[in-house]
Amino acid sequence: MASTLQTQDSPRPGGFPAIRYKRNIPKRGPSGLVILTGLTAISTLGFYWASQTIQELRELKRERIWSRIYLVPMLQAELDRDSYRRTRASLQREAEIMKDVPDWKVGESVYNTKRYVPPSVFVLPEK
Amino acid sequence: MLFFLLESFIILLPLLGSIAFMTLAERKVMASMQRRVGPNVVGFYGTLQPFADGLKLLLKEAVIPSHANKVIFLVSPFITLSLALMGWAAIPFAKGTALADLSLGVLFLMAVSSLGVYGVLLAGWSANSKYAFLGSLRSSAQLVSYELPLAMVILIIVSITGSLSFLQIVEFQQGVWLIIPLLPLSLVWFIIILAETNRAPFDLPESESELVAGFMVEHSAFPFAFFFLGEYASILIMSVLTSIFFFGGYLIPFGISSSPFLQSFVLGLKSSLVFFFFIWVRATLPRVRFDQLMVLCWCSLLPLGFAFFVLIICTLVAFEATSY
Amino acid sequence: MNVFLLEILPFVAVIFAISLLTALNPILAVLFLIAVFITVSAYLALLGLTFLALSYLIIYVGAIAILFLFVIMMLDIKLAELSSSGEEASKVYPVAFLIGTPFLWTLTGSPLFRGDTLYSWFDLTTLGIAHISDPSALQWTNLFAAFSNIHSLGVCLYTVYPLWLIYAGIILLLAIIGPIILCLDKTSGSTS
Repeated sequence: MASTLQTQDSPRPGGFPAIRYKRNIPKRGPSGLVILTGLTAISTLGFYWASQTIQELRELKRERIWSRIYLVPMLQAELDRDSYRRTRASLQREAEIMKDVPDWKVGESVYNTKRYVPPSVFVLPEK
Repeated sequence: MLFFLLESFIILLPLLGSIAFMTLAERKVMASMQRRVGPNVVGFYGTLQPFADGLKLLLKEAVIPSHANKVIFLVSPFITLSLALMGWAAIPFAKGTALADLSLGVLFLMAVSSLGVYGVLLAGWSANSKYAFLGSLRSSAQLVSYELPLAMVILIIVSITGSLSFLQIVEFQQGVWLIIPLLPLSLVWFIIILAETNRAPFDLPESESELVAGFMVEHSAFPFAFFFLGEYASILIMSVLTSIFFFGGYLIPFGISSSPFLQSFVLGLKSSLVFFFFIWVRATLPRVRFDQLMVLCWCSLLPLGFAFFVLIICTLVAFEATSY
Repeated sequence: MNVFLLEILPFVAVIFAISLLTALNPILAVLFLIAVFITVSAYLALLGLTFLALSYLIIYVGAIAILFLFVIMMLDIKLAELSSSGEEASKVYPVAFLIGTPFLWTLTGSPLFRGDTLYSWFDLTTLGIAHISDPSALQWTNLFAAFSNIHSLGVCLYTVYPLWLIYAGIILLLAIIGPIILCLDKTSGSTS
């Protein structure tokens, strides 16, 4: 058994050629470098436009804030007038309600302190 | 209260109608890409086909598996559909025309869309079937993973426009449509929205032939129709989001001023083009494997998103162009 | 309507929390946890803290609870075992009562919450007097720039508490890297 001559299948002299397993698709379209450059160029242009928009928006925001800042003193004065009116009305109301009570000082603080305490409730106009 | 309900119906009813016609459009476009005729029997050139399909699903028996958790089994399609419809509250259809112009509209939409995973997860679990359960794990892993690059892209857009409100994002694009500065990122965005809405080539949740249809195998008749509607509603919302984020929303190019009606028509036109892209991709590309899907998300899209985030923030700061 | 919802929502959240503790099926427990998160975020949104409410939804409900659900669904839990352990679950009630009562007492009795109780609401609406802060204390100088939620949070984080922000960032980084270190197999020498 062992003495029988065995021939092993071996490749032919010079070997087999490499098997072509890759798909043979012709290269189409622009190369990678061109695509990369193109994308970067488009994005850069877009960011230039976007930054211009952002700067315009910031300018609009600044303008809005300054217009409000100029309005503040007027509104604050209006508010002071209103709160003075409310205080006077509240004192009158208190005097009207408490006129039958002797020794009642109108406008005296109900709190045991000399400091000003802002009122926690205020009266809404009747419907 | 009544007025609010009326407003919601004014948005929801045409929305459901457009979902119906989207399914028809998909079948017709797919057919013409594959040189077939497509549905052409019911109604004029098959226009009533989706309604016939819906009626068929309505009339069929809803089979509930005997060991299923019945409440969750029936509630999960509801969750999917209602969450997909909820996002429409924040979408502006024309200048100043939205159900609610939220100052955090983008965040609201992200919250709503991240809750959409629950419908998938609960549907698969409650059916008490191994196929549905594995399908739900598969697709919820996909949805959760792709939410991260989605959030990255949205963060980049928000950091450029400096606002989380949809209306302000659209108004920003009067200067330049964001697709021009963010052209590379828009490609990432197109891949992500395909995966977020479970569309081909990432439609692993419902790959009928090799993975037994995924999380809604056990759902039949109307619960199934609810899943179907929810899926198409989320595709529609992604199309509208794409046109709002990248194509200027309701804006008409070249500074043409217009009426709100024309603006909403333009928004619809842009969204339809994005939806056509969805169909086109489905008819062209083969389905990817699940590991390829995950590798694409975690090893390519997410690092790319992070890199772009840092790059764009740094660019804006370097050129003193931050919008806040 | 909003005031009424503000009163009701905490109770709903507490009810969901109790059902979360008593639910035998862990998946139902996670679902009740999600319900607690959603009610709390609705509460925050009604209070006007919209950014916190939405980030609650995105982070807790949209990410963390989904991971909980995901992990618990993949565990092998026998439902038959769960139904027999009802008696053992009720052993914790006395402890829960002991801990919960002082907590609730502090919440309802503390001066912070006194202006917001159900009693004061009925009291003020029936009298026709609005419980609004004093209009004369209004400062227009503070109001000319309306800050959004995110703006004020960001100003606070980046100007007053930047160090704490960095601490939180480092803790998060550790939480990301720690599991990777734990998962490394040191005996085989390969990191794959």
